[in-house]
Amino acid sequence: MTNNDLDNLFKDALKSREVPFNPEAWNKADSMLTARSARRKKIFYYKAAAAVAGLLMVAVVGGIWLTGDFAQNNAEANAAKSATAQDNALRDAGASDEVDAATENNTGLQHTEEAAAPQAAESSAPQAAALRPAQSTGSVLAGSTSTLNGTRPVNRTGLGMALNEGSDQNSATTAPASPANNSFNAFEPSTPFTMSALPAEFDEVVYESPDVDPDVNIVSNMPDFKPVIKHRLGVLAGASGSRGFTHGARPGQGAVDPHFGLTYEYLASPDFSLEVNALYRIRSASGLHGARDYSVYSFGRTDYTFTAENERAHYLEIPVFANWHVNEKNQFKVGVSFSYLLRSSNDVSLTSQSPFAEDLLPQDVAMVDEGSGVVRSIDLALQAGYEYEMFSGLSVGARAYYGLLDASHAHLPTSPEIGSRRNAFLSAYLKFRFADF
Amino acid sequence: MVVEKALIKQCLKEDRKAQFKLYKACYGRLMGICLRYERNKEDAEDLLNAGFLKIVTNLDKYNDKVPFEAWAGRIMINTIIDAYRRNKKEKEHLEYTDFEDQKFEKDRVSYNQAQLDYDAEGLLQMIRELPEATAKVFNLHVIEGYSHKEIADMMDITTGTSKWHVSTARKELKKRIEETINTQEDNSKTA
Repeated sequence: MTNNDLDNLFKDALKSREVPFNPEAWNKADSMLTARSARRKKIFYYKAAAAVAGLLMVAVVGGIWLTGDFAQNNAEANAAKSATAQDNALRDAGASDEVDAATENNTGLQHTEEAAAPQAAESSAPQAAALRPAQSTGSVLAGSTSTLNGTRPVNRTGLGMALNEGSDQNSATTAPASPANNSFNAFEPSTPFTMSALPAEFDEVVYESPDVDPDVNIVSNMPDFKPVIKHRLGVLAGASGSRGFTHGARPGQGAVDPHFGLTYEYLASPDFSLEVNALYRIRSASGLHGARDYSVYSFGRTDYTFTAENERAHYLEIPVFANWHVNEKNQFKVGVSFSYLLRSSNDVSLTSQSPFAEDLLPQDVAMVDEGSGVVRSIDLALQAGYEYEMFSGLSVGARAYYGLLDASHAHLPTSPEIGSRRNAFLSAYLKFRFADF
Repeated sequence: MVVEKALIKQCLKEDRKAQFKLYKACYGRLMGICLRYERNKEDAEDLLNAGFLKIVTNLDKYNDKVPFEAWAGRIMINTIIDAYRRNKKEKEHLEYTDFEDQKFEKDRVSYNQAQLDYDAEGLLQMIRELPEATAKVFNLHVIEGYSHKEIADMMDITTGTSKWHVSTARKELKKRIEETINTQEDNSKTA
């Protein structure tokens, strides 16, 4: 018995052998399908929760940014306000002194009134006696009012000339502090002013140092506020070019694929920063063509043509970079990246040139990804790049990606054998920073 | 295995009845493959279910230019090989022991030659009695038609090892078939 005879014997007997259906086997499969549905639902909820968490994070970061922006904008406004408040305080201090002066004068007035009252009582005792309660009240009220506004009450008729005389004396003593005799009015609306506009005596009260220049504007003299930026958020989008994934020994053609995502940068010092991205990256090979010998042991050798179109792998890529800022515009970066395969797909056509197409076909079906199939779930890589800030917040950059792993499962015979040699590409991108805080 | 497009569409909607129909349609062919690689029916059914789950999960990627049977069969074989690779380390030790024991056992145990009448079950039994790795390589190369290079990639072995397994399997199988023939001839003479 030759080897071929033996092989044919086993192949003919076993190749297309079918086993009768066992209904009990379905029970296990049914429970596995049920578990899978539950797991998918769970994953859906996790994804939804992650999406919500992401949105919340964006909202919080956006909120912080806006708040920071407002705070920065308000800093100047607050500075102006505080200066105005300071002015007001100064004015209030002046007004208080003025009022105190007025109070002292009014107290003098009261004394004068009290001194004048007996004289009036002597000259017109009955009239005075009849009017005293009301006049006394009026006098007290007048006195208290005078402490508020430095003016005398109108109702003094009962006191007659004595009051008038006292009032005249009073007016003489209170004259220097009355608004009419002073250009500064404590009750005017607050407006920015220079210190020279303050009454001269307030300078001595407020400023102990004689070196303070009274003409320096308080608002403009505030120190410059320059916030220290530690965090930068932005978006990034670009394209990568490579020779594409290669199917085994067949040559791959060039492929250009998009990528986009978010970027966060932590500025540890003016020269150094750490950066992390979350990128959605597509990697593919297009128009793969090839021909190779295929050994079919019982029929000799035969050829067939293989065409795989649009082999695509969709990754979530998270690179982490250490950035060196040469200056404000230029930076170099090196880092590592972790990529997780979200999904992969391909579109395969096969043209067999063999007369034994039926025999070849089952063996030559290009592997359609079946979970643990063609492309590995995880890829690790080294990356290096350069970035140039063209305008404020808008940068252009380039990165080189060098995969450390074979991107495909090597054991699958018809899977793309993406060795480390092929697992590399160059990418260019634009980055826009939308938040510095 | 005849699977209509309509059934696949229904399965894509996760219709359990349609999935059952698909399972029933695939069972005979896929279980035939699994039984070639596993020695007992329970393990074969476990593999079948794992493979079927992958088929159902990836139905959206199925390209109808390719026969469904071929596509499903490929997934099934890859599932089997994946399972083998997962358990390879622990099995490597057993394999050596197994192989030596079997060689020893084969020398002293006489088979019930009447069972080896070249029917599918008898031939399958012969393959099952080979060491596990040898049986798998023989199956992949002779029955499925994989090249030694492909088998080497699949099973993390060298092409030389793959060839050695096939050669060993052929020798063993030939020897058993010849023994069977001789026994049958002796029986007929005695009768």
